[in-house]
Amino acid sequence: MKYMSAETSSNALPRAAFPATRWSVVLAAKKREQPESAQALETLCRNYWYPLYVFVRSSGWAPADAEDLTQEFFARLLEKDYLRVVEPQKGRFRTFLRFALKRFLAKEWERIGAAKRGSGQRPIAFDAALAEERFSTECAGTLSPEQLYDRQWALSLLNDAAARLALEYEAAGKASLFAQLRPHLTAERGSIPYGRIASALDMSEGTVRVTLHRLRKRFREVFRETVADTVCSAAEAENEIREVLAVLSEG
Amino acid sequence: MSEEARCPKCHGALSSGGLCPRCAADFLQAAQTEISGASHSFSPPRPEELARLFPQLDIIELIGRGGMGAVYKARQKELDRMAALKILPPGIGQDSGFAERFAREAKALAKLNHQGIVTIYDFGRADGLYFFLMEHVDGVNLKQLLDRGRISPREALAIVPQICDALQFAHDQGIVHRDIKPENILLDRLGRVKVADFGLAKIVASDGPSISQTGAASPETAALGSALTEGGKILGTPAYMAPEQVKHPEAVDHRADIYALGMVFYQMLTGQLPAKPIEPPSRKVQIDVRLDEVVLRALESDPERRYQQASVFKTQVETIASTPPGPQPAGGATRTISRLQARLLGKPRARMLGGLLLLALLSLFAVRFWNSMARGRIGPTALPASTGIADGRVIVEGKGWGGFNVGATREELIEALGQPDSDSDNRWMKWKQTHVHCLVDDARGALELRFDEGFPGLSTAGIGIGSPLKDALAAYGEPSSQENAGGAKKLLWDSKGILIWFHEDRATQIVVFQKTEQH
Repeated sequence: MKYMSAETSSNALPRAAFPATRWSVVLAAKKREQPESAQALETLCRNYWYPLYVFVRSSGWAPADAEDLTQEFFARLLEKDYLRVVEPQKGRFRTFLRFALKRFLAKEWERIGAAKRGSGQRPIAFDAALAEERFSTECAGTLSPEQLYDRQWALSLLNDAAARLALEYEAAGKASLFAQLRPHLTAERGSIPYGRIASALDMSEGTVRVTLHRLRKRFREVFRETVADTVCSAAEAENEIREVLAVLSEG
Repeated sequence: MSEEARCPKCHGALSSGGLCPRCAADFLQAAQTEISGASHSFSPPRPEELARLFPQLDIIELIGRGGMGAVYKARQKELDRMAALKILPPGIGQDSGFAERFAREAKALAKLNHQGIVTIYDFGRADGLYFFLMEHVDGVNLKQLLDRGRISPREALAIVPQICDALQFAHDQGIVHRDIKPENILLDRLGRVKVADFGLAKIVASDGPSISQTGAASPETAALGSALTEGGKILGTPAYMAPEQVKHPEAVDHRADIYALGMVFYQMLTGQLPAKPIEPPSRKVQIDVRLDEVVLRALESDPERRYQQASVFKTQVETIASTPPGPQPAGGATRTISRLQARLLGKPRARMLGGLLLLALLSLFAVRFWNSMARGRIGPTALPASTGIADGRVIVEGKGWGGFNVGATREELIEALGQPDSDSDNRWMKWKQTHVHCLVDDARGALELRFDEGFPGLSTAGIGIGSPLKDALAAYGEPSSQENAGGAKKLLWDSKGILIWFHEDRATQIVVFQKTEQH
């Protein structure tokens, strides 16, 4: 991973270098079009479209409108209109997007006018039917659009981290090992049946312990990296991790 | 994915990726502490396993764990006293000089006798396991409060001076905490601060090969002086650590604690840790701009430019809490408090009363300032100082601990809550007090209510968009309602023993009193 050079602001604290994350690449390139930045933004949008869809739906829009609106929002975002306007919310991709989307729903949509709605732009591929199915099963209840958004965002981060980890193991030719160990990824240490796993995998118990320990350790790291990808400084990463975990632990 | 997929452990619904969010959060949370706490991660022994090592104790339950050990709630059988048993990670103390250093540091720490510092009752080694037996604090830590939602600036202004007091006391004894962070700031049920784990980071860090031991001086002066420095290891929590602590952990002095407290203060005010470059807190939330200066001074990267003493930090915070923002010279109210304190603290019996009064006055001043600011005008309002306690929390003029302003007078409190408890003329311990945060969503003009704690029949968070308080509580039937001259409203469900006080001008503050037993 590349490292950005340390900040040179006069009151900058000596700090550990913060790796160039997707979000920091997007922000750094906001002034001019750079393919690297556009790609980073697109990747982020692909990973986190669902919370946005949920926000739009729970704000009261019908499924078809919600799909159009989400896509239209992405189209404008990718054109970089929004990156220029919102300053203080930029430290974190999550809060930036929420702010930009809220603004979009409140103002821009009226301006676009009914004629242009659903203009057919589909910058991000997503399965609207699946989205709607998930929305109707997962988002019932009394949470506000903001709370639903934060919750779905946290879940997306968690799923994304697990998917990244799965890919790593797959790339190393250990896909089936990963599948076998996955149910114990976040289990309490005392409750892991090492003996049973060992005989199922035909490995020694000691090997299972070590393998699972590594897997769990790596998951923590990947989760941190996943969150870090959506923020632009180490302090924001700490804040974001804390908030995301608090949301997740609400169950 | 099946809709019915459930977590085998907690039976919560699984995410679309097949993970249980709650268990994953627990797992990652523990990892977070392990990563930030220390390199020693371990699984804490079960209470039954410990019982054998500590026959003098009933080990009740595990109440906390992190990189620097695990904490259990325990009861000292002989004394019938609750205590907290902290054990250091079992792997620690392999190197030959550790036992001696541990004893030396622990002895110094056990001498820290201050109301704002968790007292050490005993320490030692049991079957290879290093432990501390400490005062048990019945309450919460600051991290738990922060995780539940932002602490109000008023509460922050009541908490920070207490931490300063504890730090100043320890610093005067030559002891540096080295790991000030929200987890280590405990608040008991009276809202009193107790700082935990003084010097523990140093003890844990001293385990390992990279130790330079000084055999000079007497054990105490060696432990207290800066001569005994263990080189090499960084121990502490990176997010709160002063720059010099990261670079030269061996050369850290008390000013590193002042920096860390600055971080904690920033987090209390804004709900977040500062990004770089540090944005003044008043740009993130609506607070007195004078607090910016205090926070930024504590967070100076050069220790020479920070507050040099925790007591100075404290004075600055108290001055701001007690004087309205404006051009006039500050300090009058602080002097009043100091005089009062000096007069009261002479006698042991008066000590507690003094502390209480001090806290109450501080809250009162903070509230005054806050109200003035909220209304956009400056200057103290004429509020008589009367105090009370419900559910262990101080009420000032009907404001809860930390100063919830509902605008009721003491007479009105007595009328509503009944006569105070017989042992005192200002306590209503039979009423449980709940804070409600009432959030106004600006886009919809809707109300959302969140309860700090569970409330019978109502969900604990977000009980509904667009539901004003009255609607949400319709389940309780029609309350009797009353409004005082100052505009404070009271809703009473007499048969349910529930009383709600609020003031429409102060829509973000509502206090709910709930009768806990008949009287």
